[in-house]
Amino acid sequence: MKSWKKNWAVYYFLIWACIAALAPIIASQGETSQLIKPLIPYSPSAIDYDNSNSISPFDSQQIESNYYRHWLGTDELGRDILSQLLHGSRTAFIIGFGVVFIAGLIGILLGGLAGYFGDRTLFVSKRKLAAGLILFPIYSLSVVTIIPWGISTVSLLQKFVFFAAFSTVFLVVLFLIGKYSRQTTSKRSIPLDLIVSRIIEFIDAIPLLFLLVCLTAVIEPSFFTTILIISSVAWTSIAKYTRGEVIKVKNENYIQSAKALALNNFQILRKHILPNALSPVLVSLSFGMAAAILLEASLSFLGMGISADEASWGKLIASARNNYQAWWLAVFPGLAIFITVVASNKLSELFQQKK
Amino acid sequence: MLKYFAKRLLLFIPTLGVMSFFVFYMAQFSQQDLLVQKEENNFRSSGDNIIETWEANYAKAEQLGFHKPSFYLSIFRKSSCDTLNRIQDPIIRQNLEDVAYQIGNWEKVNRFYATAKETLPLLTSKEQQALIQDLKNLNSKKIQPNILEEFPYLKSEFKDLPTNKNQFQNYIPSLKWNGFNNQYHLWLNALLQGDFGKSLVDATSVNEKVNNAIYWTLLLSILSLLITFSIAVPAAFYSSFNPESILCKILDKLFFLFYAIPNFWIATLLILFFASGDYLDWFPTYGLGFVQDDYTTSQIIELRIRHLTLPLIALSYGSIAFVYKQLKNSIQQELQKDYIITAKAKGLSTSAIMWGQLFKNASFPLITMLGGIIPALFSGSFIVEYIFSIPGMGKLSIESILSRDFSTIYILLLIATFFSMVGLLIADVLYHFADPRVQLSSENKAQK
Repeated sequence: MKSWKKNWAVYYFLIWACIAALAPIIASQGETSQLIKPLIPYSPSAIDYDNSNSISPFDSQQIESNYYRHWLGTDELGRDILSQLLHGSRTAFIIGFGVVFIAGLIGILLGGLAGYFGDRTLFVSKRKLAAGLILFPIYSLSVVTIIPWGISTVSLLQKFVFFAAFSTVFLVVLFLIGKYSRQTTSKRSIPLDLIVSRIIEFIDAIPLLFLLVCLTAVIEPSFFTTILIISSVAWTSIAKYTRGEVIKVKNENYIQSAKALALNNFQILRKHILPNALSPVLVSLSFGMAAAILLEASLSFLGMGISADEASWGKLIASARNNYQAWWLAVFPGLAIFITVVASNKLSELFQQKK
Repeated sequence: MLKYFAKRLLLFIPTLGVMSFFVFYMAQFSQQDLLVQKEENNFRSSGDNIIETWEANYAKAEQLGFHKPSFYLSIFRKSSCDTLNRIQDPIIRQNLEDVAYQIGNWEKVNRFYATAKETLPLLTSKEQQALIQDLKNLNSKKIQPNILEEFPYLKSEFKDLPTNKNQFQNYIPSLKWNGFNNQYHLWLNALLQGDFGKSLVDATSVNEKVNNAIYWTLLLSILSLLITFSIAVPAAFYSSFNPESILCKILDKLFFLFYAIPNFWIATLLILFFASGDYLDWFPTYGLGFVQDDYTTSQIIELRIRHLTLPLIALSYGSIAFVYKQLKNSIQQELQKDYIITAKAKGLSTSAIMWGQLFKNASFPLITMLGGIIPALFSGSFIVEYIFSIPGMGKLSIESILSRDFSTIYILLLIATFFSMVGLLIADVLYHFADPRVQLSSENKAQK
């Protein structure tokens, strides 16, 4: 980690974060914030009628002073490209980090557990297993029917509270059964690795963009749902990485000695395996970031991303397709995506060097 | 080997089964309401009698089998019912379900709805519209008796609804076995016999659409694969054997950049600069060209090449970069192994080492890559076809989504999944043939 000062991607990410956070202040119409004069006096949806019909950045523009110049030109309606670009970076930032967070959480958890326990080391007594196998269908049946998912008068929050309460009751019942059932020696291993690998295989067999587009056809796209949709497929590569890394680490001698010292699985996972497997996982997370940004841009390009009034790089490139004379509509947002993706890949070198 | 192959084929079944289930439900949820929406639009434009529209709706739904139970097993809460899908109008269906949840008694709600439905034909067309509007406005948050003013006896029945609440029934799950005469079974049967059903939007058969589209997608994918390997393989060999040359450095940098460029951007730029006519007018912008009757074969081929050049570039550059990087890594690993040193010590020429010894061993990753590239190609061709307007699967699916033609979309998803899985399987089997040392997972297990 010493060399982070030499990695330009770190600075890029810092600048990107600042722009994402400050975009509404940097580029706005000026009426909202009287105190600070915005750097770019246009909001992404503001229409400049004097400079409509795609003015090139190098053409003469009808403006009062250079302060009002459209530095990267305008689109057909006369909206400022630079302003759209900055607001688009905000979208990309939120989606990118959102996906990395959620997909990372699922991927690291499932991949880590699958890698650590494998197929034959997670033992459960047959009694508990049987109890689980009987209770699980009852649980899922009740979850589907008792919780009023389809009722429009019950708010989403209420549904989730209901769901959480119900699941807790179920878990407590399971726990009590486990605690008070007679201890028996007959145990069975749960093929955790097999289960997780099958799920990953299943998701990987579906062409990714195809699946995403099909999902957006049913789910109303917003920031949150877009993050969820992309995460639901993006976690597999992180899980694969984590699984491989954990398998590598768990055969090291220090893990054997930790086991010999009678540390429990949780302690070993948290204190010994996770820190040592972390840097390759961070590499996969930064690749995941790049993938998420590309996917969001592709979806927006197809007109299936986040809602119409949010600026997005992909949407900007799509607008170039109606107007092929205007190269600046396609070139600048494309460069922004490209540099961001390269930066994410570059950032991964930071974590690789630690090895 | 055979055992492994059979096992993999058997694994297709659950994957495709889960997929078909998913696809069916997604399509089901969206389709039925689409039908109602369409009929209502017709009604609005033609100004027909609302009761005719209503009945036409039911007839159409019955013809399409929407009145049948959707799965072998119905799961529902006791205060609701398993035949809700027979109520065609989605808003009324939702309202009745809400009211039923509120009072915990489906029978009563059902009786009310039945009375309303029986009343409907007896009314004038203005009253009918008012009643349907009322049914759509049922608000179960507080059961409001102030609607249905024009219909006194319906109003009294509606007022009567909350009198003996039985909310306990909300917490009783119910199961019902429907037998084989259900929508999923019939749909799956037709699917297995190769009948993909009909598009709800334009009533053409989905088979026909897919047949027309799949040819172009396969052609694009296969051509793109050929281009990828014929460029990436020589480039990777050249730069691993000449790591100091300028060309190698250029290739490394170039392919690193290729890796990060989004393909829809490249495709847009390619059109912008090489096809739109504003900068260079070398290629046509979109489509496949129109074949006239008097064209000879060579002319047709020339026409197609002109139209497919840009799409193929946009589709291939990413996988070229990917294959180049992986293959170069693998060659560099192989080059350090003993047998290469022995070959060098024997005095074999570089080309003899390269093709006689190294190529076979270093190219194993190519085969596994094949498995990974196929789904990626499908996804890639998705966007490229859309941009260059090539009538393949990608364009078809985007058009279907834009026209909300769900029966087509989800069939396409199923087909794409199937092709990807076949691709992965072929890659695995080829891998085994190329390198018998590699143990396939089932044999692995047998030994443990």
